[in-house]
Amino acid sequence: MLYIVIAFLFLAIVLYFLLGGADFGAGIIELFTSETNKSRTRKTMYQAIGPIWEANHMWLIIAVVIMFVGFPVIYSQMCTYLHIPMLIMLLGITARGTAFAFRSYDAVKDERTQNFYNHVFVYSSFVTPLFLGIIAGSAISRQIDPHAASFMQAYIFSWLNYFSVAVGLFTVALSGYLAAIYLIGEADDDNDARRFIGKARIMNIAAVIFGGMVFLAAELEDIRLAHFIFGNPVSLVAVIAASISLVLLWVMIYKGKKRIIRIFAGFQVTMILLAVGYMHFPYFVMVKGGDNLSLMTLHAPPKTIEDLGWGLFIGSFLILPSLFYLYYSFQKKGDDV
Amino acid sequence: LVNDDFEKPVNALDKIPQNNQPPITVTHLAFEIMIAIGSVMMATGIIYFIALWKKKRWFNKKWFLNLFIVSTPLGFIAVEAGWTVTEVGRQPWIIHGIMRTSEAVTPMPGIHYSFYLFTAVYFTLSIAVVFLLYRQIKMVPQLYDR
Repeated sequence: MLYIVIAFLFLAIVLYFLLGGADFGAGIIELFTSETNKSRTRKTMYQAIGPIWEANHMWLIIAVVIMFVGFPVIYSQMCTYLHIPMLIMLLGITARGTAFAFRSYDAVKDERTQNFYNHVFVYSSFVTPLFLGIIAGSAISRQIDPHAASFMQAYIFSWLNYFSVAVGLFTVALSGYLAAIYLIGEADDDNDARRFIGKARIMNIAAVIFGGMVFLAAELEDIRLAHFIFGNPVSLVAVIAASISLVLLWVMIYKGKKRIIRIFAGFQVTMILLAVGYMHFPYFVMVKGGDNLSLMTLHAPPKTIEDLGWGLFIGSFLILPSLFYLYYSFQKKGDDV
Repeated sequence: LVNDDFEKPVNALDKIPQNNQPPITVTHLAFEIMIAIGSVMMATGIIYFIALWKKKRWFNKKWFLNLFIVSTPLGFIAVEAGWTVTEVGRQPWIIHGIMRTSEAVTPMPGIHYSFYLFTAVYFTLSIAVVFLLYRQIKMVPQLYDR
């Protein structure tokens, strides 16, 4: 049962990166769109994510609940040492959601307030995945120090280090990349599609650069990332599969296949997460001094895990079909107009 | 009731040691506010039905319409008051009989700044909601009355 719970945890995290990430990415794309094209981008983007943007955050909630119920010790450690980045991420999600909702439901659509909503939306779309990445990076950076002597050591440098920030920027680039790939298929005409392809290319290059920075920072801070990833067969295969699908994806783009590329992009991000997740398993949080927090030992009592597993299992029968229907019906509606 | 048994007596505050008692005044007042507002809203509902059946002309009376304007925020206040009852009334426990709230606080120093921050966030959002509702109401003639 423990393995089922862990599987759901990873599923929730992967789907949050994929769907929530694409969601943030839409804002990032808007942030880096020139003033003349902004309103067109916004329109496509709004059509694409409008009805589903709240559903995507469900995965974050599921991941948090699994941690909270199933692995309370790990959860409380993360919430303590990563309190500040979590706070910022939470504020980012709140600001983003409110700005997005207000911008479309405000009765008076005057330029000044709309501009204000836009600004809040795009900047929080940038900040939120940045800190999501920082949190993810910190979890494996070995910078969380339970024996820290000072406030700065314990609560600031646990996440403010080269590695975590590099992972944060990498996450931002990946989010933008996912969104751009997704938007290519949503574009109304070839002109827009070309623009999104351009964005996807820039985000792809950014992701490669920041990905390189992640490895560089890992070397600087003595995190043996390269050693771990290339040292175990599963991660190695995952990385190679991701690279191959990246090449295929660009071939597909130039052949004009606009829908299938989404699967490739999603596959790449899943592979990256798999590579990183597998190489650390069963550890979820790497701690300075080596007292890593393991999912296999720091779980809740077996009875709790069993109930949680059943809850997730039964719940997924209710949620997954309705979610697929949501995406399906939305996709269909998009085809009609 | 608490023990799923109509016969069994429910422990009163005098049976609970002083150091395990919640702040009584706040809980008590919040509970009374909730009950009072609940009764007022129930009465408002009854008055509405009386008007619907017997006194149709009330619908054009100013006091009658004003009654409903005044009632608008009451529901929210009652909900908040009820929430205050449960949250203040559960103190000093975060999990009853197992863990105290003081033991559950994040050990990070300066945690009260998080509290101020979130208070500010809620305050800002409340202002925003009032602002948006005001604009919504102001736009009614242009949006719906055409």
